[in-house]
Amino acid sequence: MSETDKSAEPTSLEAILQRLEDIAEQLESGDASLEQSLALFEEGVRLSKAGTKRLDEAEKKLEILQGDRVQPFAVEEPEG
Amino acid sequence: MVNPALMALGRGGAPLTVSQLTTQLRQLLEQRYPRIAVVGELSSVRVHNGHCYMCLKDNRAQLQAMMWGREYRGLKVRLEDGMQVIARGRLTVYEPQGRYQLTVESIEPVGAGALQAAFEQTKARLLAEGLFAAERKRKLSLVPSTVAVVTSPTGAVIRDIVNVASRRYPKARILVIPSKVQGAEAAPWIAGGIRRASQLAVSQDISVVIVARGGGSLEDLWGFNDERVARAIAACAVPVVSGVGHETDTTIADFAADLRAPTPSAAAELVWPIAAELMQRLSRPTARMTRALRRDVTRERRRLGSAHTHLRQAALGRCRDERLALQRLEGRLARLHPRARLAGAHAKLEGLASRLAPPTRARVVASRNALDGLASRLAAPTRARVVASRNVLDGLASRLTAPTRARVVASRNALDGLASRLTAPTRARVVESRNALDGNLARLAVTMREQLAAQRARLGQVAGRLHALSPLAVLERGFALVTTPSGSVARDARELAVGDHVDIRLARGQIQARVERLLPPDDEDT
Repeated sequence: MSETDKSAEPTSLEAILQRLEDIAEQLESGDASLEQSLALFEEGVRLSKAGTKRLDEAEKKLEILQGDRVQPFAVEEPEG
Repeated sequence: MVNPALMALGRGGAPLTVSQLTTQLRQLLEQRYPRIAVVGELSSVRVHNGHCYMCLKDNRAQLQAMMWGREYRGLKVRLEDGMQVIARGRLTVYEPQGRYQLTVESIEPVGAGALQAAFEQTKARLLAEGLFAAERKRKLSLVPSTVAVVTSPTGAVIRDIVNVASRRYPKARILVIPSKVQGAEAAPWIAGGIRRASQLAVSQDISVVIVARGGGSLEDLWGFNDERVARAIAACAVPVVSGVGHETDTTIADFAADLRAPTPSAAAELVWPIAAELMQRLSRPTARMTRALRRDVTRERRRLGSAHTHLRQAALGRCRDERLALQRLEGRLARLHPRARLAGAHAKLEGLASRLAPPTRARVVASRNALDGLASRLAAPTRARVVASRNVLDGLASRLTAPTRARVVASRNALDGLASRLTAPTRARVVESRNALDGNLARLAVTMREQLAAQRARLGQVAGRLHALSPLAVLERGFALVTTPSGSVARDARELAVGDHVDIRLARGQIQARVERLLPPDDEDT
C-alpha cells in the first residue's frame, strides 16, 4: 500500500487537502481494519502537519523589479 | 436657403445697429447650421466656470468652440490639445464679442471607430489561431508562491492589490514588475513585463502573473488590446490573470489570460486564498480522523476484553475439573484409610462381643480400646497430610488465576495507552500481545495439569505409606500384638508376671498364651 511510502505523498497543498479529505472519509466509513486505520491516521497527521508547516513557513515579501534587480518595495500611501 | 426678408435688411435703407446686424447674423447662422459635425485638432483647451472652451483647427483655419459644463462633465474622453476630434453641435454667434463659435454637444476622438475595428480584427485573428481556446487555460494553484504583478508601480491599482493580498493571505509574496499602462504605447511595456515574469518564474519562484490596470477609455486601455500582449500572455511559463479596467471593459488581454478578473482587486482575490480558511481545511480532517480512530480503538478494546474473559473462564473451568478429580481421589483414599478399616473391624468386634460371654466381653472391650488408641494416633498425621495437600492445591488454583488477571489488566492498560496516544503501536503489536497472552494461558494450563499430576502421585505415595504403617500391615510382616490381662498392649516384659494369660494377635487369627518366663531388659536399655 502507498500509505507507507512517504515519497509518494502529495506535495501541493491542494493534493494534500484532497488526500486528507479522502483519509477522513475512509476512516469514518469504518471499513478499514485497525492497522489500516492506524496507518491512515498516521499518514493524515503527517500530511496535515506538512500542509500547516507550508503555510506557516511562508514569508511575506513585497519587491519590485528595477532593471534586472529585485529590490524591496513599499506601496505609496494615497495623497491627501 | 437664406431668408430673403433678412437679406433685404439694411440694403440701401436705414443703417442697422451693430446689435441688429449681430442678431441677424446669429439667427442666420443658427438657421443655416443647426446640426453640424466638424473635424479638427484641439488646441487651447481650457475650463472656466465648469464650461470647456477650446479651439478647433486644421492647417488653414480655426474655429472657436465651447461646451457647456453639463455636457462636458458627461464626457468619457479627456480633451487634450493636439487631439483629433469630431465635434458635433450647432453654430452660433456670441453677440457680446461678435464672434461666431461652435456650441459642442458631443465630441469624440477621431479613430475611435477605427480602434474598435482594429480590436475586432485582432480578436478575430487570435481567436481563429486558437489563442483564446478554453483548453489553453491553465488552473491556478490553490496557494501561490510569488505573484508577479505587471502594472504601474504608483497609483491605486498596485495599492489595492497589495491590500487585498495582505488581508486574505498575510504571508503573500509579491514582485511588482513596473510597466507603463496608459495608451497604445504601453503595449511593449506590458508584453515585456509579462516576458520578464516568465523568465524569472523559476529563479523568483513565481507561480502566477497578474496584469492589471485601472479603468479608462478605450484609448487608455489600448495597450491591453495589443497582439504582442496577447502573445506574451499565451507564451508565459505560468498562468496569467488579467484585471484590466472596470467590469464592462473587455480587452484582448482578458481573452488571452488564463483567468479573467473584472478588476485588479478581483484579480487579487482570485489569486490569493484566505489563509485562515486553508488552516481550517487542514485541521478539520484531523479532527474527523481522530474521532473515527478513537471509535475503532474502543471497538477493538471491547473485542479483546471479551476474548480475555472467555480464556479466563476456560482456565478456571479446567481448574475446577482438576479439583473435582482430586476430591474423588481423596474420597477413595478415605475409604482405604486405616480408621475406616478399623471401624469395620470395630463393628465386627461389637457383633462378636454381643455374642460373647461377659468375661470374654471384657477382653473384647480391651481390644476395642486398644484399637481406638491406634486409630486416634493414626488419624492425626493422615489428616494433616490431606490438609497440606489441599492447601497446595488451593495455592495452585489462586496462582493460576492471579497472573491471568494481572495480564488482562496489563493488556488493558497497554491498550489505554494506545488509545490515548493514537499514533503509537499498530494492530500488529496488539495482536502480538494477545498471542503472548494466549501462550501464557496455555502454558499456565499445562503447568497446572503437571502440578496436579505430581500432587496426585504424592497422594498415592502417602496412601502407600499409610498402608505400610497400618498395624494390620505390621502383623502381615510377621510381627505379633501381645495384650496383657488388663487389656493393654504389652510393651515391657516387666509389666507382666509369670503365669499371666496374654492374647497374641497375628495377621490372621489369635493365640491365647501363658507367660512361662520373663526376660526383663538390661538396665542400659530402659
